[in-house]
Amino acid sequence: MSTRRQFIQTGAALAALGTTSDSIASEPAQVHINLYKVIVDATFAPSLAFGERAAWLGLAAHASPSDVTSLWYHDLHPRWMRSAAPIAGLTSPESLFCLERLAWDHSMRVLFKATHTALPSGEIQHSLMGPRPVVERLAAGYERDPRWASLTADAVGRFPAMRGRSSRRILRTPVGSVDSRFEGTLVSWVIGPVVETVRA
Amino acid sequence: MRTPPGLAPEPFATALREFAGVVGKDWVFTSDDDLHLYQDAYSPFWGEPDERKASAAVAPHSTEEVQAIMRIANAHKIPIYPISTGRNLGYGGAAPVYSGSVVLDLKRMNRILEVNERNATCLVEPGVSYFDLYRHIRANKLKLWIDCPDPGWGSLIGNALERGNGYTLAPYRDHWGAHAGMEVVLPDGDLVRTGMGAMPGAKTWQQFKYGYGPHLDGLFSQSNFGVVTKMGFWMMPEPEAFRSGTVMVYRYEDLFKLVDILAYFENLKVMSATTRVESPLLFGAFKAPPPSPELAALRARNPGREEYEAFAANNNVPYWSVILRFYGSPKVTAAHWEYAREKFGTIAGAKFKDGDFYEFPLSEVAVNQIMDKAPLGIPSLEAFSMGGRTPTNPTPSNGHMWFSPIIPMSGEAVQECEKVFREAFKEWGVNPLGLPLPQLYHERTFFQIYGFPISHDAETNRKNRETFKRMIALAAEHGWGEYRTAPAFMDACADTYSFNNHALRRLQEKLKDAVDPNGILSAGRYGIWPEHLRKTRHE
Repeated sequence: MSTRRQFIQTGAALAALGTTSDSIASEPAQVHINLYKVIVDATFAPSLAFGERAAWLGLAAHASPSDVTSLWYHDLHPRWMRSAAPIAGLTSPESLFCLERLAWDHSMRVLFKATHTALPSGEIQHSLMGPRPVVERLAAGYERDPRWASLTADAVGRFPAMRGRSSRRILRTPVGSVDSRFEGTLVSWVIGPVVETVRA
Repeated sequence: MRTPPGLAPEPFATALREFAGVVGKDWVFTSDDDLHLYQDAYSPFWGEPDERKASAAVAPHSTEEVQAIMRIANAHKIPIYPISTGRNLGYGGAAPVYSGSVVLDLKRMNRILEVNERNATCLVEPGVSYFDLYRHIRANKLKLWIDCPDPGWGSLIGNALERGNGYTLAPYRDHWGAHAGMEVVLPDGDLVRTGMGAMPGAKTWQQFKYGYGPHLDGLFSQSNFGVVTKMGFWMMPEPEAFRSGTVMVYRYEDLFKLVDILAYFENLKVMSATTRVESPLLFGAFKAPPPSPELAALRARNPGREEYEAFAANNNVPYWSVILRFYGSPKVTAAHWEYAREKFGTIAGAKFKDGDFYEFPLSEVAVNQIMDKAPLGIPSLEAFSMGGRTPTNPTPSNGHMWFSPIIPMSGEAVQECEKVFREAFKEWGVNPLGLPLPQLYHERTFFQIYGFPISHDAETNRKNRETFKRMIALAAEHGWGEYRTAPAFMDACADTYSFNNHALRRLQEKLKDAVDPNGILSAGRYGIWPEHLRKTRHE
């Protein structure tokens, strides 16, 4: 276990940062985190859509059941013992509960979290929490495109390394999207090293 | 900056600076972001003013640093709350019992100091988790097993001090009972070793538990008399084989003989693994698929015993069942299973089903394919995924708290306990989680488990806390006591151990005042409060 401060001081945080600039011309160039893995729970259709999009983006998608023991024991723990390595996913809340706490021991935190709840009406309610640029861009995307899981993969795939102020949004996407075929609650998230924030 | 109750910011800041002088400033935590990690994820006071929170945390790396911290805390009268890995979920997690205490986070003390394969023992620090020790054993190809609770991410020392349990054989599944020797930092910073560890250069610290003179180890379990910085454990040699089998009986009255034979085998050590009496008829077996529509309809009607028995006989659904687990050689486990079939076969109509069979060592591939890992000493996090949303669990909670009174190991006690609580729940209008059936964890006793979900709704949590306390009192009226509980109920449980005008608590308080006169260590833990706080005990 190292501290956030030690992590920054040793420069290890830089190892977790990508060096490629954003390819979208309309956005200012910025540094993104390099995701070590994107975690997908094949039990849920939105998670599969998220994983497919992540793979299309060139991210390393990894299927895991809700029980994350094997993922953590064989993969994440050995990797994190070398240094902190960011991960993202669209999973059950229970999987995130475990991964978040395991990540704490390696100076990482949940940097972004979106709770997706299937409502009786067929709509999906999304509660977003994270850096304001990410939340605002994602909320705008959800409002114009029902493929929320794929949009979320886009967002976590370009997650900024230097984060601005935190923001929260709650909104709904309509009935009938491909990504609406699930019951209950899912969460999408990014776990990564704590680094200094900048004011957006 | 948060401060401990009654302490002004300036002296607290001075103490924090002195802590930093011991452990380094990187290991003293005061920001909200860092202290969030020490909240109880399963707090029954979630979001309420009474939710227990740390004022700061300090993470030492060595016993010497723990000693120095205790001396500073004494000088400034800073309340200290040690945790090992802080994953005691359902029983308080990393949050202090006395809100505002400084958490002494021992996670960095995570060294596996010794594993003795020939004597099947180990010596570890508090930050060593079951996963850590398991990984060490696998990496070094040692012929040893751990015994782990579910989940397995907690600390060996933390779980043992809480008197937690696992799933293998009796000498190992009682984690406190399996310990051999401790190193303890006392509240004044003095260092003590118990058992043979009190003899410099002793060769049998982890082998011979008792040493010489009074056996004081128990003072440091479920208590607040010292900070345990090392602890030894007896480990289980890897057996050649594992075999399980299920006994199924079909009449209500069979419960009594079923439990008697189970107790006989347990006490004879023919079968001494953790198990539970299940009722596939009444409640569904653990991890069982949803019931058939016919059985679901029967349960919904909840008819008389005769109709249940007729359904059991006609549909081959046992009224009661028990999974037996055997460890040894293939021949020995086969002989024990055969012996079990012979003895349980004296129950009219009993049926048997062969279960898993494994020979060891197992490859990693084989380990990953095992569904029920804990009885094989393999740690996992599966328990969390089981709490997820499923057709039979449509509204998963935000955690849980368990009420688990110890009852006699007899069919009569099971019957009485089930009846007492069923009637109470009906009268109180509550419906706790879980199966009201006995678990065999601690030897020669059962415990029942009733669960309450943790909600983020304060009113729901308030009602559940109230029910929990009523259950503690009701259980005590019948002679059943809690074996372990969450901070919210430690005082209520301690109150029930009241023989001779609370003589036990009075003794504990005398000891507390002598060992920790400033009352700085884990105030209130298991109902033991320092003198200056006794009049303002938490609810």
